[in-house]
Amino acid sequence: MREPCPPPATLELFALRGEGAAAVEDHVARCPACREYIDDARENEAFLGRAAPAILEAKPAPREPIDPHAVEGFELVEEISRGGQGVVYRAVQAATHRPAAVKMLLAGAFASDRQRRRFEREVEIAARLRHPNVVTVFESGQTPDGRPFVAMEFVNGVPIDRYVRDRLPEPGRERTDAVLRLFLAIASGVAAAHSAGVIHRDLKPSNILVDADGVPRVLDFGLARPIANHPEASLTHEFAGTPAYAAPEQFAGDGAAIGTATDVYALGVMLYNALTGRHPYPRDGSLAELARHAASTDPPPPSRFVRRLPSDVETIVLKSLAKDPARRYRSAGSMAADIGDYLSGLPISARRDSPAYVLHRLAKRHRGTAAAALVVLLTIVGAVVGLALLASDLDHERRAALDALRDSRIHRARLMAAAGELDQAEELLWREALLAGVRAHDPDFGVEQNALQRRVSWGLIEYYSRVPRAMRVRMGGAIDWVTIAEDGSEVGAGDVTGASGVWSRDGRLLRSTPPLRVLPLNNHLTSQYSSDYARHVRYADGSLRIVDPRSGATLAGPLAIERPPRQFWMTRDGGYVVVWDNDRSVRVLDGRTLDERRVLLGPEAMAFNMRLLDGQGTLAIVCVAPPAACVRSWRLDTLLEFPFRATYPPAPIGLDAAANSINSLTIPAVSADGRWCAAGYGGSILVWDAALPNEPSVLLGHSASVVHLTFSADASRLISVGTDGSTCVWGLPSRDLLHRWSNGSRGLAADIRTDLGLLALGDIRGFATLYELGDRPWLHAAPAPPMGIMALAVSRDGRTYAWGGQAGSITVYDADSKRAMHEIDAHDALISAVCFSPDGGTLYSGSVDGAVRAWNPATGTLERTIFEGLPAVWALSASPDGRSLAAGGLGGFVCAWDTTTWEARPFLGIESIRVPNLAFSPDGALLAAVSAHPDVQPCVWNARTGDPLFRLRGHTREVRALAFSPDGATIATGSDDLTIRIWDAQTGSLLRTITGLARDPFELAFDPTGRILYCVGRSPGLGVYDPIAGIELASIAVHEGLVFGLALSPDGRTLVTGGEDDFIAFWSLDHLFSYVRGNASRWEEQLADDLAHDDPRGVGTPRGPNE
Amino acid sequence: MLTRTTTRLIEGLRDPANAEAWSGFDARYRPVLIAFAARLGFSHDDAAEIAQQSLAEFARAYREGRYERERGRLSSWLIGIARNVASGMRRGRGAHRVGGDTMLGEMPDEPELTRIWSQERERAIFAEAMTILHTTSQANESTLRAFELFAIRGVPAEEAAAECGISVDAVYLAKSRLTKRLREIVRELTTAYDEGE
Repeated sequence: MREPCPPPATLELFALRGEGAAAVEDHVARCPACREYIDDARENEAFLGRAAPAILEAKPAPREPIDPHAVEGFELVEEISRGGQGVVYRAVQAATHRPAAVKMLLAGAFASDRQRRRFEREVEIAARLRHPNVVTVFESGQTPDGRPFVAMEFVNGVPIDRYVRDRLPEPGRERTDAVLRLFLAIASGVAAAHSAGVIHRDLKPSNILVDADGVPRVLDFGLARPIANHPEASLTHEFAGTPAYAAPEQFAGDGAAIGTATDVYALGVMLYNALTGRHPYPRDGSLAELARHAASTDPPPPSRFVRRLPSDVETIVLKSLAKDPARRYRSAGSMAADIGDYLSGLPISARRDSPAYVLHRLAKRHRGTAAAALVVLLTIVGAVVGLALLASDLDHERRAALDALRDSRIHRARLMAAAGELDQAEELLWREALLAGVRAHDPDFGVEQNALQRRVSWGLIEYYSRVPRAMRVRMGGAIDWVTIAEDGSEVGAGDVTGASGVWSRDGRLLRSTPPLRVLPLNNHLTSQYSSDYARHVRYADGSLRIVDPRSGATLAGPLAIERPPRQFWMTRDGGYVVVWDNDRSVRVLDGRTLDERRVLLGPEAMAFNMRLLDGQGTLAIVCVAPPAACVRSWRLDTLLEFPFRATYPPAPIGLDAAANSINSLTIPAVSADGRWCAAGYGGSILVWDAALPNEPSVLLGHSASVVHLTFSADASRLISVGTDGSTCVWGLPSRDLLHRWSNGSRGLAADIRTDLGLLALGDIRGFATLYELGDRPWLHAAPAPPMGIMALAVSRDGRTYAWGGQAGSITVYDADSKRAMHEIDAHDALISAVCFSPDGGTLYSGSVDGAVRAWNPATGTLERTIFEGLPAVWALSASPDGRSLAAGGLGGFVCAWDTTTWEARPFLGIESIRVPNLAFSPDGALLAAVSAHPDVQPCVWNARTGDPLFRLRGHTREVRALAFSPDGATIATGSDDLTIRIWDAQTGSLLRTITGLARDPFELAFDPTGRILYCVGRSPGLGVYDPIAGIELASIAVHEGLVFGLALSPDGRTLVTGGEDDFIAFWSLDHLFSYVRGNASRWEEQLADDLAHDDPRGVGTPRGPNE
Repeated sequence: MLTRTTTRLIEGLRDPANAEAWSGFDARYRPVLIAFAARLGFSHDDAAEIAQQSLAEFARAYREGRYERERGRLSSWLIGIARNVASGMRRGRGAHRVGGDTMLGEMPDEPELTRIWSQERERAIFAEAMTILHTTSQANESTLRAFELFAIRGVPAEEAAAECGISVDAVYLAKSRLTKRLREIVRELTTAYDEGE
């Protein structure tokens, strides 16, 4: 008799995993059918390994016809996916043309009104989340047939598990770090939700999409709970979540235990999977088995599967997977912090109890770090070691370690910014700035007492020297419009909730109007409001009306329109309503009466894309003009069409040509004068000149689709914004790309004022941003003489500058009028030194021709030749009391004159090749000189007697740069040994050494507070150092050639540099600082909660002054 | 036969009015070209643009008689065209590049391009096979759904069973039978593609 065959499940598990071997094996040996089944199973499995990912990635065919207008305000395009929760469609937001994803939940997804209300509340919270790694929710509501929906940002990406499998490098350290970088971003996104009070509850790979740029985004916040509680959708009683990623407390149905740590667990499962390619425990069993595993099976250590997995990584994974929520990371923020620390080579908190461990990590970090950081950290580690050995003051030890951590974070952020990772760098810097208690609006910003504050302040200043973002503020919703005030002093913006605000240039809110709360959320499109929000055009129940948005009263209409229009707008002045009808015709109605004013296009023109350009007073429409597509445009005031039609030639192959190219032409724009027309074409821009309507030029500047185009009011600029977040400014008529930068987010609205050099941009994340156009607007460039300058000086009142160079002439420059007052033909050869007398009444010059002369800077006339026939002069310094003038130069001579009698004082001399620099101390008691010979150390004399006091011993190569601190207590010297040394001016003993300079230093200058030291030299950047903490603060490149001259205005607010370049740079530090101020309030707002709630180390309070 | 052989498709292209051949060719190779360009590091939009330009260039070359079958495989031709279009786009970007933006990397060499192409072609075949399975299979909706969940999406069998309202064994059975059928479809499609490429 034939025995029964084992069930398919048993056979497959036997085939693939050898489970249940003994009993099955016997049967299979006798049963050909089962043998075949087993062979098939194995072949199937191999096949699916290759085929399943490809099938998943392919777009599923739509399974039911889509009603494109099922959700008001969106046009549904195609079905993306369908699952237990409902259906997701790709859609376009009608008013903005933004791509969107609309998730339609199952009809009757809520058991009760209470559940619905909770769902709505959670979605509302989720909609307020703004984080680069969280998908932005636009709105939610209900379709006319009662189905709830959520509309959100569309992400073109793949689930994280597939991304990890297909796109990351081969297993090894590189892959591990790539995985951790991904999870750092994901955990930061989840952390943002946690600090807003939203728990995801259903994190799994399909809810984390990674886009083409490798940026992960978390989907569906706020959606898990209502679905899970829905009796029909919930398969498993109280169970919420997806079994394979569910935490033990979810299986236990312990609602009270579900919290932020539940999300941490799911992240842990995914991280485990991404690192090892396996699940932490078998996931194929029944739900009960899964629950048992989750509750009691310890995951095998990941290092078992990944060779040489760093133990910190294993610690992070296993801590996230702890069975007891209390033993996991408290929230995604703490998890992100540990991942971040691991990635930057810092000790992680998961194992922070042992000081030896902290030291191990810190010491390890040194080996791979730049020399500057190395020395800084060695010093700190030295301190930590010492303290650890003493073990007497744990608090101190902790603080030292924290300082090291923060220092290295700032350092990391600076490196990131230099590498172009601007967004992350900015957030990191602001986080540290706020933790350190930096206040950008305080007058001592940049020169704070506290060293950590100085460090992070200059990190920010350096950052904004790269990014001309003068101001950024945040609104509650995606920005609908922005505008720059006439004089450029204020920026106004409104968002899609109907809220509006006006901000000053330093980011302070001046006035605002609240969001409109009268109408349902999905009608809040301000392009359907007059600018005073007194009138609103709505379509409902088959007719168009003008209503008062506050009372809801009908002001005009109803005007019956049987099929819902594709789109309609109200002009800002409320004068017109433009309707793009369902049949693609376009007409203009009176904004007060809804009477028809003009039909612009009939249905035959097939209007395909249109834009109302209120700022330009124009309207542009892409339509068909067989056999091509064209852009036609109208003036809004007269409703007359501009004469030219910009056409685009048919695209090639097979298809209906006009329809094909019309499909591709997006966001048409026309300049106010009607001369220029532009449209997006994928990632490129087509621009037409009215003179050549059939010959558009193609502009390439974006790496992804162009989503916004605007002309400046004077039509001299075109601004384009891409989905890649980049913004380009093009010049007209040249069509040159003038500026390009990343905004970090997609722009939706823009206003450009070419006369003021300002561009305001509003984006999808709710940021209104003001950019300054032009090359480094905080810099004023004055023309330099031919072949550049060698010497530069400023008068004590800060109003007059003087410089001289190769050509032997001196320029006297007035800082107020920004004009050269005199060009003095002063010497026969290169001018190597200039300086002012303390009263500013005399300008001294020294040259390699061996002469020293005195000039009247007001008249530009020679007062006297002090000496001729010296060896080449290389340095000059006037004593603070004005009684002495010292000179130094070739052969190591140093001499001084009495400025009343012009008698020479005793020659000093330092047996060197050359004296490149000398200086009197601020009280005039000391004279110091440096030497361009490696074996001759800088010397300090008693300035009155000429007696040598001491030498500054330590530099190993020639020393060229020299400065006294403003209080006279210290001397700074800079040498080709790439160090700056700080000496005690009374004793000559070395106080500290700043190492790892990027340049041979030529000139040094102290800020008046003595807390900042500026340096220029062989490389084209300006180095900014902290002479008290002994570290580099910033490096800002401005020049291209060597920089020989450096002067700081007496108030410390204007820095002047010059050298081989053909310009002298006047740096307005206030202007540069204003960028930090203009961006401050937004970060203070954004990070305040974050820092208060998620600071595992308890360092949220600023430290007191540490000097 | 599920689908026309590549040879027949290409022959159809000789007649510019043969819209069916053109759309068949387009449907077959556009997804491969897009995926190919995406693998070279282009964004989706750019990849779509590259696919569009490549197909247009192929059509032009074909009509002008520049494509002769004996001179090489169709795939090499398409790869060559796509590579040129892609390089052109990169150059265009380079000319307008400003500041410190990272550039796309170098173009991979010939064997690597061929490898990427055949991977993407295989993926396209898998996807097409799945569509054919859906439209031709006799299995009912819940069996198909269980197959998709368990075999394709990797959902645990118990979960798939619960969602589709069938037994766990039925889920395993669905996987076994439908995977086998899918393999057959892939085999047929691969033959049809290969013939003429």
